[in-house]
Amino acid sequence: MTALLSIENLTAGYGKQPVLHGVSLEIQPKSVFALIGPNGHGKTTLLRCLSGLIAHKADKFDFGGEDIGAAPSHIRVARGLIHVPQGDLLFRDMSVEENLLMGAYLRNDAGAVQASLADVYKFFPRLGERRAQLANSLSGGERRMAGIGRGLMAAGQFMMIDEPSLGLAPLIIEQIYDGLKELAKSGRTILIVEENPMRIVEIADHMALMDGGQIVWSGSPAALTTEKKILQTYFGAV
Amino acid sequence: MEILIQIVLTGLTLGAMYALASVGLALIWGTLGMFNMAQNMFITVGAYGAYSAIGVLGWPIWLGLPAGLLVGALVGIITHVLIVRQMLGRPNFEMNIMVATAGVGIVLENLVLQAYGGYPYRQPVNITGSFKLGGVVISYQPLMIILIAALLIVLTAVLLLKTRFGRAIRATAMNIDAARLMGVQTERTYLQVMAIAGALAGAAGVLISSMSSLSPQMGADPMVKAFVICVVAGLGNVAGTGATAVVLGLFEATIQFYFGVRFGFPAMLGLVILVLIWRPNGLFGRKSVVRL
Repeated sequence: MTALLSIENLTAGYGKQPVLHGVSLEIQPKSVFALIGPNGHGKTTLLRCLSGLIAHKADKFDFGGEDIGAAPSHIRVARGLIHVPQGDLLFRDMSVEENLLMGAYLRNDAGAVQASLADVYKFFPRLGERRAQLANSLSGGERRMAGIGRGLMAAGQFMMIDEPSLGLAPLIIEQIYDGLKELAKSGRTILIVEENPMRIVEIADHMALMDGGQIVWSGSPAALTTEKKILQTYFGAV
Repeated sequence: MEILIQIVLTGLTLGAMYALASVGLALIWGTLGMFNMAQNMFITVGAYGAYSAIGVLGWPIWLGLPAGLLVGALVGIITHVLIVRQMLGRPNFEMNIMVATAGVGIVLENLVLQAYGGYPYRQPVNITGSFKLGGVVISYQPLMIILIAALLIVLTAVLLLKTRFGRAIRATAMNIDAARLMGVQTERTYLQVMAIAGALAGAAGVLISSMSSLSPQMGADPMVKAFVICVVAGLGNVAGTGATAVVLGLFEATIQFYFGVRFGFPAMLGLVILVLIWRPNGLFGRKSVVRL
């Protein structure tokens, strides 16, 4: 099967400080790819490169059979490469519904957008209850739902979700992950960044461990659980 | 009663012109995070644009306002393409862009002076005539000003609040990274904001000059007041800016009537100081802007 996203030797950094030193990865269509590893080692930077928010170089940057390495963000979004950013980055003075509609900014079919809106409200009923509320009045869990819901509104084939559990209470994390499990069944290709590998072992098809701006290990979730050395090095005794 | 009608009418006229002059300033601040020091010249070129279209080119009078809008928008676009776009995102943008746009203002002012001279031309876009209401003589001109300003501001509000286009502008203002992740071309949004702000300022110029006369410096006084209004409203708050402009216009008209015209502006500044002591972030401001 040809990979949906195929990256070779991607480098990037902020100013003169390099953050990513040659990242290569392949993501198969309709799979769930988990990018794990400690904080501050380039996971979020990689996602920001993939969505075109920061400048980067790569030997290969192929998405759905097209080289989009030089394309600006809006072209990537139009191709269906959707990024749900860390910390949600909601539009704080807009209502929940306006936030969701922004997710569908590039879609022109009003009827289909309304259908997506109904789908998101069905998927996260809490958002339906809060649809007229301003985003900055939401709780942390609701914000996360709004962030993911906004990503869903783009109806893209590929969704990258950065730390869906960040800063949430354990009970809420469980709810969010229940949602992600549902999403994984929906036929989308998903890339999830997660600090804690154990949360994601269940739903991932493939995992990659990032350290010091490089991917240092990749394999199946089952393989990770047997790699005692990796677990101990990066996550302490498990 | 007659006095009250006069004061309210004068106040609303002032407020309407101030609102038009300041909404663009607020929009630019809220979206691009810059204080546009060339706003005075956006106002002035709008007025001269209408004057040239009607007085020089001989276009029909109803095209005066569209001409002013258009010239204002054009100057906004040129300022963006030549200056703002080159400086956005560079270190010290907030400070440097003030100096740069002040420079744009000086260049434009001298261009206008060069082209038209300092002669205080009369703005031909003007409606003469008046009617009587309960013993008060009311001219059509101030009524037209209030009507046109209200119409333009409502249009702007609808554009910003109710359309997909306006949502993209607000999204860019609130969080530029997130806006780009939604597929918004933020570069283009900035250009659109500069064009809208220029158009509104240009319209303000047409209306202001129709009450007095044209001069290369005519935009200076409205810009100072527009800046004061923006600060009182809370920087970047477009709706609050419109409301504040009307209130301050009414306040200035009242002071002018009872104490004399020369006390209008000092009293307005006094009120502003009181408001800022009470609410340092402005009436509608929320968080303090730690910049500069």
